[in-house]
Amino acid sequence: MSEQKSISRREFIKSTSITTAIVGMPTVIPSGVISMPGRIAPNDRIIYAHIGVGGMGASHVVPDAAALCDVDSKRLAEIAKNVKGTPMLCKDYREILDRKDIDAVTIGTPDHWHAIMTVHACQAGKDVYSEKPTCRTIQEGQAMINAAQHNKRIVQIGAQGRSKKSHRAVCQYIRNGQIGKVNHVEVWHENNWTGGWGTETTPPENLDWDMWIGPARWRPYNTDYAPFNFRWVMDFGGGFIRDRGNHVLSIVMWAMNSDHTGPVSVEATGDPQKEGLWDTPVTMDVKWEFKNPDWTLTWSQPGPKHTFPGSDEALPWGAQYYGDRGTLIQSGGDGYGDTEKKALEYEPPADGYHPYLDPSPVEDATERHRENWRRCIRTREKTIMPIETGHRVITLAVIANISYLLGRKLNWHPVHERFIADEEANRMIAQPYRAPYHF
Amino acid sequence: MNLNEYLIRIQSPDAGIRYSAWKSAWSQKSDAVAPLAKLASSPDKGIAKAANAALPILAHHSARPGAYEEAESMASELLKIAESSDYPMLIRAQSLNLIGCISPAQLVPRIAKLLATDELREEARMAIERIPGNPSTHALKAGLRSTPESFHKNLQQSLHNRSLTPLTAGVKNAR
Repeated sequence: MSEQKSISRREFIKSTSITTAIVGMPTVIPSGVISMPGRIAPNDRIIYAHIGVGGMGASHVVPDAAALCDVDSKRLAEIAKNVKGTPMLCKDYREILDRKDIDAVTIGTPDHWHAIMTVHACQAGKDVYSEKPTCRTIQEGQAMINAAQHNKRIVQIGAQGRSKKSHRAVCQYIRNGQIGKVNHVEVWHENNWTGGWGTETTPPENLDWDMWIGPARWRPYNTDYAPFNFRWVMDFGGGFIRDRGNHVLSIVMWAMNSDHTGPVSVEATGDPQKEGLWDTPVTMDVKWEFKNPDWTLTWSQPGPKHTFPGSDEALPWGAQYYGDRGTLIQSGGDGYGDTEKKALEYEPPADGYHPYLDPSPVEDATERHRENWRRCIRTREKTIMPIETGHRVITLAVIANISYLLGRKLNWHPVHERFIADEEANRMIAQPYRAPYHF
Repeated sequence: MNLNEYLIRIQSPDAGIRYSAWKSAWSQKSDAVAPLAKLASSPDKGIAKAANAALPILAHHSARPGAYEEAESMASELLKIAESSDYPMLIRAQSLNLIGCISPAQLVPRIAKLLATDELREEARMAIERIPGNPSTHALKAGLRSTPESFHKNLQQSLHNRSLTPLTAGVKNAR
């Protein structure tokens, strides 16, 4: 952010008669922070805009948002009712990025938009909160990292499990060796959804279908693609492994101290539905192998559905950690879920590992995650779930889906981020974008 | 299972038999491409789904490490589908997507001819973008001289994208 921009912001605030007690995001402002390029002065209000305002995207909308963007005009008008004043409404996110007064954007679109919007937002000097999954391809994740680092932007990926106390307790318990050396983590999840054929028809007038597809390969509109059900289409969503997998695998990678690395192999199999529109596998089994230290991660749909000790309630999704001195169960991985009492009550020694948790007093993990982003916008510190980590986590799901599609085990180089000795797999590291969309 | 038997199974009225057939598409050769592409636009949605799902399994299996001749043969058959107006546009586009995944660089000049067509220019560009090697770069650059000016930014996008990730040699060139 330039000096010029800070002045513009103050002028903007004055012009809208908002002087003190600004309604918006009450954040703790570190003393000594002054307005300078790339930083927001303590007395300046952060100006937010929201791209994609359905589903989780709607939950991010602040009451004084400057602009809202959605390809569904009906939804856009509906959400705009929750915003004070007259926010700019648009269906093309680039109009928001052109606004110099906007500091930060949330991205709550379908998955195939996350990467390119994040890259463009960073290039436009905006800080970004982008929903999970981080991205669809390895190249997208790399481009997001480059854009954030080169433009010195604060990026938070919406894997809010990292802001949840019970998931932090899992990380703390495992990282402090309470079950010994962990050699296997077993993740389970309910099956992907099944459905019918939907109806291939003209898109509703309120939906700009071509813009909805954006950089993905074009296909005709079907009532069973949007909203929400894009998750069950490989080109758009990639199934639960990329959706909630981004949550549960995030906690596993955190607990296993593996945010900086990745597996050396992946093998995925699955069974898609025999009839119907969607093409993600309904059931799926994945095995990733890690080296130095050696451990194995598995994903099973539907999997064994573990229960907490003393309970007979089957947990719909989660992870079980197997160590040489015990086990630990984590349920979920997002803003909900829990873990065993022994982990919740565990206090590490002073010189033990104490995972960071944003000090925001709010209990809700999703709100704490957003608070962490807002705090980091002001302090310019790394968020709890920065793009570098988001990329590493989603790499697990991305390469699993490639292995599933290719029908073979793949060897992965976690440093070079390339498949070893498999030309075709390496071509799938990137996916060509439909014009005019490019990084 | 020979091709005729296979095609009977993938058109079975029993969804389970069709499913079993599509999952075992890897056992077929490139001569299965054309009949499967025909079935992929069947008015029977179940049969169309089975054939549509079988084609990628067939294609990806052909491009497994060490099976370079199979990949070339498969890509060539898929290209015939993309080139033929006998097939619906979505099937031709899907063929080009698979071609981008498995084709050796040697086929790029043939793929590049589709850059001259109004209906598949964009899909051909995306397929070429994915194929490593100089022939792809040359084809994209040559397209700047042979395609409408309105398409040039698309070609420049592909040339830019190819510079983002270091692409390895093509399937054939990697031998």
